[in-house]
This record gives sequence, C-alpha cells and structure tokens, in this order.
Amino acid sequence: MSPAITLFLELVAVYILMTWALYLPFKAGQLFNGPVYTMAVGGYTAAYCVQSLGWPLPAALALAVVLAAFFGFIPALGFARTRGIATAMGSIALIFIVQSVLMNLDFLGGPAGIKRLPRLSYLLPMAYGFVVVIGVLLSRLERSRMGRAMEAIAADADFAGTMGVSVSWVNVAALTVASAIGGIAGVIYTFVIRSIQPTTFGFTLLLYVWAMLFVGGRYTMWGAVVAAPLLWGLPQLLPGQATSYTRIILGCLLAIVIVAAPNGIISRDLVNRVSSVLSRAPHDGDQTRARATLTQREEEGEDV
Amino acid sequence: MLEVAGLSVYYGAVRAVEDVDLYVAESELVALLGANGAGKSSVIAAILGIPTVIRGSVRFEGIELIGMATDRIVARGIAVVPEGRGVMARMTVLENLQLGAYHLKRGGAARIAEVCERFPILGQRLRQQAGTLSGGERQLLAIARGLVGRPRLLILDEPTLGLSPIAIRDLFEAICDLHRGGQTILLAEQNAYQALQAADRAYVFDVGRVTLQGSARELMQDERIQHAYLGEYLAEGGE
Amino acid sequence: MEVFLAQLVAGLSIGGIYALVAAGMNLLLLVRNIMNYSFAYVVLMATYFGWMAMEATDGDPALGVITMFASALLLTVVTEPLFRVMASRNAPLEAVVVGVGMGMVLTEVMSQFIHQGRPLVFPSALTSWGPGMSHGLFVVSFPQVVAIVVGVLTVVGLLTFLYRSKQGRAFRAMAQDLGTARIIGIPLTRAGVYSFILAGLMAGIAAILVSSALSTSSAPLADLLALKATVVVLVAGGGNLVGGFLLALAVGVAESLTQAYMPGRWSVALVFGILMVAIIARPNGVFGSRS
Repeated sequence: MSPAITLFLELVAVYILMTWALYLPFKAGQLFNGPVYTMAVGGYTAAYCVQSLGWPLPAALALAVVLAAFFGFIPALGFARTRGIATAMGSIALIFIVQSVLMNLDFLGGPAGIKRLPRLSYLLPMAYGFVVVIGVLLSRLERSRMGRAMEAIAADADFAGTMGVSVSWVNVAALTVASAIGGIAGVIYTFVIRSIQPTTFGFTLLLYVWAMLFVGGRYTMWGAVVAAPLLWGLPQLLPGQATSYTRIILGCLLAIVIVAAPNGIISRDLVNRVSSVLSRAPHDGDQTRARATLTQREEEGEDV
Repeated sequence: MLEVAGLSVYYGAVRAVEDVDLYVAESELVALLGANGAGKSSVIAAILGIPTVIRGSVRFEGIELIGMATDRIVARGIAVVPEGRGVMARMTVLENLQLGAYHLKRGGAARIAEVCERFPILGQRLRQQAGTLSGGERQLLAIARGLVGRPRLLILDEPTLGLSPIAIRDLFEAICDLHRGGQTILLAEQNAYQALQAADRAYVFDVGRVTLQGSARELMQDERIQHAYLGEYLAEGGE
Repeated sequence: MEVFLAQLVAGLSIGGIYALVAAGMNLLLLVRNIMNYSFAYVVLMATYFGWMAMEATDGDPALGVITMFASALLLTVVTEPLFRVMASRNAPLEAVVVGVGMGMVLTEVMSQFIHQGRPLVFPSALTSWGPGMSHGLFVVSFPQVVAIVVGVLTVVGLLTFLYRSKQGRAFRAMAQDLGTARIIGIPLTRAGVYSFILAGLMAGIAAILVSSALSTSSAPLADLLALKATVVVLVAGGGNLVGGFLLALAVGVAESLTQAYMPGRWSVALVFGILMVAIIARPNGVFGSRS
C-alpha cells in the first residue's frame, strides 16, 4: 500500500473517531466540542511521554486516555446542569483556552510543539482496531437502555427526568466517554503526523468534524464512516491552490446541510430500511399483510 | 360573520377535529362546549391559522382564512383571549393593553382609555406588573387586551379555568355586558351551565366532532346535556 | 496612576465595543431565541469593506464609514433567513453551528483574499480625529472616548426602544411568550426581520468604532470578539441587556488591566477561564435570564 493511501486511511480513522466523539453527546442533545481539546490533551500526553519520558506507547496511550477523559469529566460536571447552549459555547471557549495554554507551555514546545516522534509500523491496524472496537461498543450502546435514555433526553430532558432517567449522570458519562475517544484520536493523529502543535486543535478541526457529523448524518453513527473519507478525501483531490477554499466550502456546506437537509446523507430512515432488508425477520410477512389490510380498509372509506 | 365548513385539523397523524361545521352571526354569543381535549381549542387554533394541517374552510366576513398568516387574521378583526390567559407577566398592565393596540394605526391611547372605563379595576392598576394580578383580574386584562383592537369577533378560550366562583361570576357579567353591547363572541367553555345561560346558541364537541347543536335554551333542556354536564347541579336541587 | 487611567479608558472603550456586539446578540436572542454567533464576524467583515473602500479612494473617511455601516446592515439582514429557519425549528444548537460555519467563511475571506491576510490598519483620518486627549503619561485617543460614549448611548437607546415603542414591546412580548404573542396578532416573521435590521445598524456602529478606536482589524480579532461577546451574553444571562452591558465593560477593563501587568498571552486565557467558571457555576446566567 502506498504511503499516501496509508496516510489517508490513518487520518480517516482519526476523523471517524472524532466524529463519533461528537456524535455521542449529540445523541443526548448536547453539542459538546470537548473532543477537539481532549484530542490535544491525548496527543500531547502521548507525545511527551514517548519522547521526553521514554515510555512505551501502550503506557503513554493509557495515560493519554485517562487524562483526556479527566479533562472532559471536570467540565462535564459543570455542564451537566446547563442548557445546551452553555455546553456548546463553554466547550468552544475551552478549546480556545487549551490552545492558549498549550502555546505558552514551554516544556511542551510552545507554539512549535513537539516534533520528530518515532514512526510506528503498526499504526494503521491499531487505528482501525480502535475504530472497530469503539464502533461495536457504540452500536451496542445505541440499542441499549442507555442509548434510549440518551434519545429521551435529547427529545425532552425534563420529561426524561420525570421518567426516572438521571439526566445529569447520563450527560456526564456521555461527555466523559466522548472526551476519552477524542484522546485516543489524538494519540493516533500525533503518531501519524509524527508531530503535534497547538494550532491544529482549533476551529478548523472543529469545522471539519462538525461537517462530518452533520453531512454524514447526525442521527446515526454510520454517517461518520461515510462522511469522514468523503470530506477528508475530496479536498485532497483538488489542486493545491484550491485548498484555501476548503474552509469556505466546508462552512457553506455545513450551513446548507443544516438548513436544507438536516438528516444528512445517512438518515435514520435509511438505516432502518437497510437494517430491515438485512435482517429479513420471519414475521415481516405478517407486517406486510397487516399493512395491506389497513390500506384496503382506508380505501373502502372505513374509519381507521 | 364566521362560517366554518368541513373543518378537520391534524396534529401530525392525530386528528383533533373532524368535519366540523359551525357559524357565528353578528352580535351573537355562540358557545363551544365539551370536555378538555374534545376539540374546541383546536377549532380556535384553526381559525387563527396555527396548526399546520387544516382541511375545510373557515370564512370570516366572506374571506377565506385558511392559509392566511395569524397576524393578518388578527388584523382582520378577530381577537382571541387564549386559554390560560396569556398575559405577559413581566410587563405592566398598560403595556399588555398596548400590545392589543399593535394593529391600530392611531388612537391606541384613546381606545385603551375607553377599555379601562369598562374595566375600572385595570385602570387603577395600569403601572402594576401583570404578574401581580389575581387570576380573575388577569382574565379581565386578557379580555381587555383583546378588545383594544376593536375586534369584530372576540374569541374566548376556557376563560373560567382556574378562577374562583366569584371571579367566574364577575367574568360572566362582563361577558354578558359585552354581548348586550353588540359584541360578537365565540366562547369555548367547559363550564356548560354558565355558558348556556349566557349564549344564544351552542355546539357540543366530543372527540373532535360536533355531537349536538342548537339554541342555548334547547340544549339546556336536552336530557343528554343535563345528564352529562348538569348532573351535579341538578343533584343539588337546581332547575 | 496616569498609566492606570489610560488603561482604564482603553479597557472601557474596548468594553464598549464588546457591549455593542453583546447588545446586538441579546436583541436577536430576545426576539428569536437563537444565538447568532456570526454577528461579530459581520462586524469585522464590515470593517474590511470600509477599509477596501478607503484604499480605493485614497483614504476618504466619510466613504469608509458609510461603506462600513451599509455593509454591516446588509450582511446582517442577509443572514436573517438562515436564522429564521433555525428559530422555526427551535434548534438553538444548530444555530450555533451555522453561525460558527458562517463565521469561518467570513474569516477565510478576510484572511485569504483581502490584504494578503495581514491585519488591516486604518488611516489616521479615522483613528486620530478630534481633540488630543493626552496629558503626560495619560495617553488616550478621542475615538476611544467616543467609543465609550457611543456604546453607552446605543445601549440606552436600545433600552428606550424596547420599553417605549410599540415594536419594542412586541419584541419583549415575543421574548416572554412567543405562542401568545402570535395569537394576539404580533407578526412574528416581520418582527424577526426588524430585529435583524436593528442589529445590523448596531453592527454598523460597532464596525465604525472598531476601526476608529482599535485602529486595526483582522480575522483573529473577529474570532476573539465573537467568543467574548457570546460568553458575555451567556454569563450575564441571555437577553439581559443591562447585565450584558455591564459585564462587557467589566471584561474590557479586566483585559486591559491584566494586559498591562501580565504577559499578554495569559491574560485572555485568564479572563476566559473566569467567565467559564461563571457559566458553569451559574448556568442560567449570573444576573438572571431573559425578560
């Protein structure tokens, strides 16, 4: 496999993870932008541990994830009680704060960051290993009680509360897990690029991930799988000068999709239809017969 | 003045009102009776153009209202006193009345003064925050706000909800007073007895349809009405 | 002492600009219940248009001012339909995403296509007009003082409008109870458009103040302005005009003073950090919420 394709695939994995990291809290109705800065936390932790402390990657990765989760958990405690807007804006402000802090921490390289990290030959399988594991966990979450609780909160938080759902704790959990996933993505990203600097973890990254989430399909986890290669890949194919238009196109695309096609490419409808085709459950026949009877009665003018 | 024909209202897949015909002639007081959820409020919402799916026809002074924006419908001379009163609690009584004058090109202040003469209790409390008024006073304020715009048709949606018996009595006094003065009124009420006493005609709603209609006197003597709504009253030895 | 006073005035003048932007966002929040994150970017974009006009006419300040005003108004009104859709869907989070997205588009235009992305510097005709205000170490510019005065006057004007005019009352009614406002006949769409027009006017004023009192403009400045104004609005309580105004002034002063006595790169993070804590500690705003 050519290095260019390997690089592309590795970065796609990173973006899939990041999009999932944003998807998870959004499922519970929160727009939490924390993964962008926890990606920085995870990446920097791993880079520093491997390069300056000489740790082996697994240990660095473990610490990176813990720290990333921690830096998501603490704000999450505060955000859990706020309205969605405060979480959205607060997490954006945190992105900015973390960037500023990283620029000023000299032991982490300041604005220049950390460079010349070692090459890891197993990065691609590791990246997709994570994608598969997290993907499986995510899809099981969707069907679990927790998943339904999150959807209930997204639909109407107060009502969900009265139904016995602990809204605060679900929110905190979602935000923390999302932050952890962001941290993992950060570690992978750092070793793909083999360097890390603060400027990466700002609005451009946020815009990319938002675009992947909303264009891909905000209501399902599969949207990320489709949108990440698409939105990451297409700009690569454009001639060099056009890359400055990428942000403009992304911004416009995001606005257009949200306004005109809110369900994104992979809509819930599509997922349901595909999964019903795939499962071909035995009682499907009954359903079709029942529907036919209903239609017939409607046509005969009966009160349905 | 108001002609509703074949009206059906859907909220999503739920049919709240089905094939309703009714009319209100000038200077009449027509009552819509029925339990909560029977469809009265949905009919009123449909007149104002609020629900997204409305079928049938609503004609006001010859003009079809379906499809018209709510603010234009109000500008044509329909004032609604919504369920729950809809008084702006953090604005003063005066400001609430001024909201009623939104569509008046001029003469708003004069009109407000006129309305305050009719409801002196409001005139005394112009500078007070509307949230500090009692339930009955707030209901009067909501009605007064509706009247400021000189509406051809005044619609009241469940005005007695949450009011004390005395407040209800004062309320119906005010309503009857308006009626005697020639104001056309459409009144949706769960309180059937009082409503029938005040009204010229009435329609009874159940599960989205009109099940009974006729003059108020006829309906008051109808056995089904007595059974359903006046049972308590009769049991107490009334007529 | 004189340095301190100068810093104070500088801080108040920046605070005045924050207050204007926050007031515009608060107005839109009151009427449509939606955060318009792109508002600050519109303000800065307007300064860019004004700058281009002045470059083309060899520094004519009058033309610059008019262009800024007109372009701010136009840009704000043009974005209104987008936010109308968001409001009707009751989707405040998506409105933030749309706002940020549009902000990025404007940022990109500013930093790629105009003046090769370098910060703009405005001609002295705009930035140092009026009587000299310096006295020893107390160095301030007249435009800075004007910024404070104009900021205060605009917010006072807005409050007067909200409490003494028919349309203002309609706005407040919409903020309190949108459903009833509709039923009593307030034209919601038209009122929304009016609010954007009003906000556009305020954006125009803000743009003029930015160019004359700050005498520079750049894409990063837009990012900062948007972020700070939004945080101010949230912490003071969405729709809280007076609280937002005071908080904006406080933020301006705090920034200015900490910059003088602390390395520049930390001061912004510090102010943000404090505001963040405030959001988290009092989620519905330090001063209470919409009214």
